[in-house]
Amino acid sequence: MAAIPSVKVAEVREFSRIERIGTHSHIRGLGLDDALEPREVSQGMVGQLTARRASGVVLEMIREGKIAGRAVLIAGQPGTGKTAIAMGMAQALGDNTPFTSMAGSEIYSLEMSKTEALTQAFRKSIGVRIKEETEIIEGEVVEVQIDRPATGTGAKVGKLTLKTTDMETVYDLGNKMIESLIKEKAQAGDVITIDKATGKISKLGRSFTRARDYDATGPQTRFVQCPEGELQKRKEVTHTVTLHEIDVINSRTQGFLALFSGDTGEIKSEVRDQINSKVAEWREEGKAEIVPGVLFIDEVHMLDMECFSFLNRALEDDMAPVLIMATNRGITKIRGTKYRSPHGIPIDLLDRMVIIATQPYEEKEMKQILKIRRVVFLSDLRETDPNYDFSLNRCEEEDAEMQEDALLVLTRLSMETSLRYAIQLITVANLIARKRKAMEIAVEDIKKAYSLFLDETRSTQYLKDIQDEFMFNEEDEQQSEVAMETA
Amino acid sequence: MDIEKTQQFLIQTETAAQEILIIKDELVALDFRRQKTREAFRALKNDMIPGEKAWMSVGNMFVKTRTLKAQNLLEREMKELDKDISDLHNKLKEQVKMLRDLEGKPELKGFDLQPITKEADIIMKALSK
Repeated sequence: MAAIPSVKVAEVREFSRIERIGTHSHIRGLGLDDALEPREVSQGMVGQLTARRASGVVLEMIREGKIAGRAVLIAGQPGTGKTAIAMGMAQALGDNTPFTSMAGSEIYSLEMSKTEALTQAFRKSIGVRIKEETEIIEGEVVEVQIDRPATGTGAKVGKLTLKTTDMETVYDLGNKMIESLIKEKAQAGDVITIDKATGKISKLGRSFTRARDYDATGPQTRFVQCPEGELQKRKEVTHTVTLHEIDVINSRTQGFLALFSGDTGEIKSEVRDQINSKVAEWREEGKAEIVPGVLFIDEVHMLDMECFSFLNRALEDDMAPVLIMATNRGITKIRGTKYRSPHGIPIDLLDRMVIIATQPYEEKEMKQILKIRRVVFLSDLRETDPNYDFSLNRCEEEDAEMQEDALLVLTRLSMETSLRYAIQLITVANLIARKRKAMEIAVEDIKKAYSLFLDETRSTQYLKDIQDEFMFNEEDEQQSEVAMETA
Repeated sequence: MDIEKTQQFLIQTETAAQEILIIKDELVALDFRRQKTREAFRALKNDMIPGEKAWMSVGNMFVKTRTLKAQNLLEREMKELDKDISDLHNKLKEQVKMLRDLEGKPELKGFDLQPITKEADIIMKALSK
């Protein structure tokens, strides 16, 4: 029995690794089992079973590299978890598949043309895998022997004895290696590596067995184990970099500075062409692999006609990533035209996509999400406010800080208003509860929060009721609606 | 029935893992020989007077040979050792791949590529600075 509470504490602590609390920071994957069947509540995902299963299938195809250059559209009403599913996919793909997330409106910038912004997003989503291979000599220095010429100047020669736990050997050294040994201040007891191709010597630290050689050591002295096994090792490292990163490195002389100041500016198409042909050459010679990643465009209805035709074209490229889009629009005008189309996306592009629909959450699912968010919120609080006393409820159920009926009220509220509003209320209600020195959020706190902060429907109602008292409201309703549309 | 399957699976995994350990030991032994051969070659080159004969051990027998001939022999041996080590490295890679497959771990990707050390080094340096 005693073991159970400690297990639960550990579970809550897991969350606290999240640095800042974000809307989707509780999502760690799609919550599917090995057979791609969605679990009801898993990895922060709740409900949306068909949509999750569908995305699981897409994910599997991405992993196998089968659907490069295809597009997926996640469509559904606001607050039905579209972004959550995309985030889940990103988490499930892991670090080695490039995943770029952007909002449709991000492409509108004064510094960059729309197509440039989209091209950069595309190239950020295509990875190139390359391999480094080095032969290194790694060992603990046993002895350095340097013969200096009697004249004082001229070439030095010498011997370097290195050992691992398995062997020991002597290397004859020429002038250059001796110079670099002296420069690195390598002496007996140091663990060093020598790059065989370049002859570069680097010091890893001092061997543990020599830790007692001196009474005082410098603060930067690092002690390491004497290396094991062979002296001459082969080291292979693979890297996945995105095409965009290579673009940036090559587009300017001080290119890598630009990558981190954020201002990459426009990249010349000649640079991209050069890189494309270089990468193609590497592929041909078996030196590089293309890793098609995922580009996620949220609020895709914000793109205009030019962007859509660019997408159409870009998807045909043989290095295109998988494009995932999300929208909450129904049949609406395509931006930049006067034509109406489903989701505000031209029919020809829509035809290329597989569409995943999300359904509104049911009451039960809403409750579950609110519960999860509650835990995320608390663990965040734990990090930011060390004075907050958690000791009272540390060993109880993870949602113990909210009374069951308060959760019920909150769930009902979320059905009437919106899920996002209800999640906001958790934070507010918690502060209210703390003000009256209570450890749990009770119904009264939720009520107080609800009365303090308006949701969207009530705000609209409020404005309608008292709009005569506001300024500049001469327009009648008809006019203001027109104004909204053109805005 | 299930126990037999599990046992079979365990045997397979253990064998594959054992094989990896054997290869690693072999690599260490080969590297040891490589270093010793290199030392011997160096010694013949630096410490011997050209034209003089040198003692050389062949198996458990000592043979007196001309220095030049001994040097040639050692040089050939070093080349062979390098090749053996390189082959063994590749075999090790395959074996690791097999073991990971048996353990149901994801495949390590990119290790069958040809290395582009210089370019990769430049790219990674630019990205980390």
